[in-house]
Amino acid sequence: MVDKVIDVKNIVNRFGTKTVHDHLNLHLDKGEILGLIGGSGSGKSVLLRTILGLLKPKEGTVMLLGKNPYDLNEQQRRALFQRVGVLFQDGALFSGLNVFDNIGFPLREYQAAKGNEIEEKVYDVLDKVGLERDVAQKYPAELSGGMTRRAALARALVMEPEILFLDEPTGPLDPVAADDFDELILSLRKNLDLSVLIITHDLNTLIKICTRIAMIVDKKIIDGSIDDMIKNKNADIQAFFHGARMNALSNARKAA
Amino acid sequence: MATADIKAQGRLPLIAPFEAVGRGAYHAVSYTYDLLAFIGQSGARFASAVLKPRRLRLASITRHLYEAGWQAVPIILLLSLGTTMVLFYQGANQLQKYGADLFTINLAVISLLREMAVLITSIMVAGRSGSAFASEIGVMKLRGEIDVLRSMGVDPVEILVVPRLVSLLIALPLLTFIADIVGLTGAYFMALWQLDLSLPQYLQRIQDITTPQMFYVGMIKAPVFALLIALICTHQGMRVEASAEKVGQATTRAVVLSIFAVIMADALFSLLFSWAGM
Repeated sequence: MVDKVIDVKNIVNRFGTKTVHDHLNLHLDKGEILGLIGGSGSGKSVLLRTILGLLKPKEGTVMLLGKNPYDLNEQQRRALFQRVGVLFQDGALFSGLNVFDNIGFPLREYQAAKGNEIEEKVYDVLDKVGLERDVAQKYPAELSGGMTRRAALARALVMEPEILFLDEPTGPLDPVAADDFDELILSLRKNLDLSVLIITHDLNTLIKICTRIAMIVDKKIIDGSIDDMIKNKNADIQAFFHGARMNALSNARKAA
Repeated sequence: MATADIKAQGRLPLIAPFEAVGRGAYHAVSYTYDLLAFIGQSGARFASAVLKPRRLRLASITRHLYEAGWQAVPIILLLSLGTTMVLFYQGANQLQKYGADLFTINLAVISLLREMAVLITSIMVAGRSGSAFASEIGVMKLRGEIDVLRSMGVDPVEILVVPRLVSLLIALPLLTFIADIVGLTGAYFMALWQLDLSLPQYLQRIQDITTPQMFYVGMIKAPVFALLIALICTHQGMRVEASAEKVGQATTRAVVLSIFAVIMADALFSLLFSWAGM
């Protein structure tokens, strides 16, 4: 049996009278790169927040690395979330800290390293995400979109997590930068033994790096390989994968 | 057209005022509830930080002490000096008519020590630092930085609220003390100019009319006002959601509410002290 690093069962999320998730199920197996897609407002980010223990669902259970984040005390939560790296939308680097301190933050916070060791680990992870070392002294406001994402990825990776969450990592990047970023994720997964959950709209990303795709359709998940999804007759899935976007898709597939 | 105007269209005009009252009351109650919950949470965090000093963020406290305390010194000097001198000048003009010139010192110095120094300082700190607290935290909330903290299992209250609270608890009493001293100096200049009092005469007069109690009455209010300002303003920051517009609103509300709270608390203190015969 494959380990399920994330196992979400029968989640119900409701805001006022609007139901976002209705008994939704989702799992992430060890070593997978799962692409999570869905239209705007379909609840992708809400689902991410639910899994990360930021938004308690009305019903259902969340298991993250075998633990329910809503059942833990503070110590246990910290222990659990050391093993999880998150790259939030737009990076969400701490604007008051420079890149070095941003990346060093989890190390200091979890007391995972001291003094020179912090420096070593920060520069090491900067190399991994392909950033120059002199970026370390810059502040988030001085970075380009691509660099911000790489720096935020470095922060997510510095604790050597087992699961990596990426929330629209290539969103506003130009195609070349987005492509580079995809390559980076692939190489990192190979080297670091990661399981990855990636929220994206980018068809190229889905085809190039995802091993499985899960789409939020009608408050539930429909998942499968990219070919399964293209064959699926559901109108929403058809709308996502076909039409004008299909060209980009088939071009990318030919190239791949 | 503002959203409120758009919403107001298509309703019976007679119902609107009642609806507004109900809505206002509902918001006031839910805000109060929210604030009390926040105070409870911050209190718990503060207590655990005091018990385990490792969890006090010294770097952060130092930064806020510098920004909210040290950098506020010049403006506090100026304000305290100015207010006391104006008060003295106006008082002297009136009291001279009754030949009670000397009582101008009572008027200026006693109100300075008991009320003015701590009030001016608190209002200035609410305007300078309270607004900064609300907008800094609001922007962090907006940019998702608070979510990052929580996703690391780090409590944002511990890292963002407690250091600001601690730094104001230290800075505001110190600034109040400075305002006291500077105000007394200002009163001396005025006494010299308007009443021709020499320094020894002035000091003698001060000794005759003031008691240590007056000084303590002012000073004891400072940490309470610091608490109010820090909690209300950081709470407003934490409430920011969804749009950049909200940061501006939160900042304004933080300053208005905290100054309001400071003045209300000051009135309560006056009642308390008069009951206690201070």
